[in-house]
Amino acid sequence: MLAFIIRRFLIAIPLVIVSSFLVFIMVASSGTPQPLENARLRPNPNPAQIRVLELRYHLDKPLVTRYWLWLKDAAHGDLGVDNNSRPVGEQLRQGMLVTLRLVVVALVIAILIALVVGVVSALRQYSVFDYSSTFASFLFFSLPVFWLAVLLKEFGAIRFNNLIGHTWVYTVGEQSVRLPHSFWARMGDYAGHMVLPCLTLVLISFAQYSRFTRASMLETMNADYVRTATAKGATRKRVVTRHALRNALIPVTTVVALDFGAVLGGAIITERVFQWRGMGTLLIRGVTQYDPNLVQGWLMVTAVTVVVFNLLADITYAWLDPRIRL
Amino acid sequence: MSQSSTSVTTPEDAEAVRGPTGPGPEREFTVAARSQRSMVARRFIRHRLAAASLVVLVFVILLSLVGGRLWKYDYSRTYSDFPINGGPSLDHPLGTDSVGHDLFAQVLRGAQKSVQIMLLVAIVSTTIGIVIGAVAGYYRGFIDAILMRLIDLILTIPLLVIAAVLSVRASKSGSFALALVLGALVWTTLARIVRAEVLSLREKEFVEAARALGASDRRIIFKHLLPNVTGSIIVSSTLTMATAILLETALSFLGLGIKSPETSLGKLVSDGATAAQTRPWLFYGPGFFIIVIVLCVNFIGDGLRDAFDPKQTRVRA
Repeated sequence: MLAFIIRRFLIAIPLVIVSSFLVFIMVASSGTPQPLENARLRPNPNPAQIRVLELRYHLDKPLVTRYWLWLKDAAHGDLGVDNNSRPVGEQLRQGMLVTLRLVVVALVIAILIALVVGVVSALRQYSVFDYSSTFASFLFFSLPVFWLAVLLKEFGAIRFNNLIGHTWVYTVGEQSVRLPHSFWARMGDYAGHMVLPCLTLVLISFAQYSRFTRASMLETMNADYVRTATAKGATRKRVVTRHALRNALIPVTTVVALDFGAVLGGAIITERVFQWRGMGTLLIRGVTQYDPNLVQGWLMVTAVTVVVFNLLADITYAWLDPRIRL
Repeated sequence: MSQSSTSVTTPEDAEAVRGPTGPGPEREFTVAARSQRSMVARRFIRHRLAAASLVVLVFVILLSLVGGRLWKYDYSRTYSDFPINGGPSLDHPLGTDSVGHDLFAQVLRGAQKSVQIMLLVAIVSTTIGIVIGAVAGYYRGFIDAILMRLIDLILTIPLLVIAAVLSVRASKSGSFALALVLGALVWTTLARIVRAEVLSLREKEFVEAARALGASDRRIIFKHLLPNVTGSIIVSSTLTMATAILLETALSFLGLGIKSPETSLGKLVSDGATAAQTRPWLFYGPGFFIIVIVLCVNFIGDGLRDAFDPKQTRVRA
């Protein structure tokens, strides 16, 4: 098992490095950094200032040299500074903490709900429950993320707060500006801010997972080994959980892992709607202001997160399916 | 997909297997011979939800393509006698916005742009996906490894994010460039599906036979392999269209997609998002169109998947 993990890890490293190079080219060719652009477009441009800025972004050097400089710093954990000379690494760390809090909680809830819904609708195929959950899934993955988010924000939050008599569900930010002192009150504050963004992500992602769980559960329930298990007298519960579900989980794991990027994308939009200061805000700032270091750092941190997540999925995979344990 | 198990590979071969269609004079009794295509069509029509979705989608697409010319108001003009911020009325079924545009005219225009983007993305991504998938699956080895690592690379970064970074520049050159960028990004799923099927098909006897007859690689790929993968390709491209519309919507919401004076459903609905409480029609009108289009596309994709699946015997209501 350990050897398997190490080998997967070693494959992941070149992937991240090549990805960083391609991303570097992409970022470099997407535009001129904002301060430089501003300096050049000024009514009477100051050549000295332009020169200083060009040197700051290493624009006097060829692309490959620039990449090498960036990579050397990045290998030491230094992702450079953004257009406003603030360190990128620190901003990304804070942004990632906020975003991962949202994504991980939403993902866990979505997977749990999807498994229950998927398994039940597979066991009762063509029942009312099956039809309504199918329709709900189709509806939810046909909704634009931010449309659902705005809907929940404008209507869910206000109705709910009126119902319970005080404001617990917040629609702006990831925490209150002044956090309460006691631990539980603080956790309550985090939770209140998280309800709606989390609900948005859960609804969007559970839809796809539950469809997939249903399909792969249907397949395993019709498999010969499940019939054998029933024939030899295993209880229904045991057949479903030990024989069918465990095998059905294998393809589901793949989908969850492959879909992780899409969930991150959804999180960016959700954050934007609810004005969280997470990765989404950073990305939009970086992209609209042509902030090369910020965007580059952002993409690399995300790429590493996705790769780590896929690695976790691979490990889960090996654990679920003893046949591929190498 | 296991439709590969039929030895029918090209339409001409199929013709030969079935014999001449229609009751020939020399035949004593006729067996209702059904081509695979008509079988798929029958299964699809029996899938009522999918068939209904197809009708709705065709209607919406026609409406978006020609509706703008037929509607009494122009999408870009503001009329002085319009109510500003007026709610839906008989004259303006979706109301008017803060400048005095008729929103229905704008939605028609936006739908036209979104549908164009959707179709273009589907065409571009399907072409790339088929070629890369078929080449990787057919030649295997080094080429396959390189192409599959390329897909892994693309997948290390969320689709929306690459699209966001690339479209900052592309969206300045208009919706056409944006659609090309999106199309160049969303082919990965299709390429994987095509590759997997080609990998198994290329070992089949009919490919061996074709090769023995001296068919070129290109002929084998396009005449013998790809026709057997048609089902999966159609299903996957259909679902890509849904992805394309949602991606465009998301990008426009982030301010990185369609720029004015052009408009799209995504842009309209994100403009309306800030007014969801006070002027809900700005938000629901265009949003409703997006949902109808995407929902229909998804239902059609689902119906096609069932229709192409030879294992599927029971047709769902």
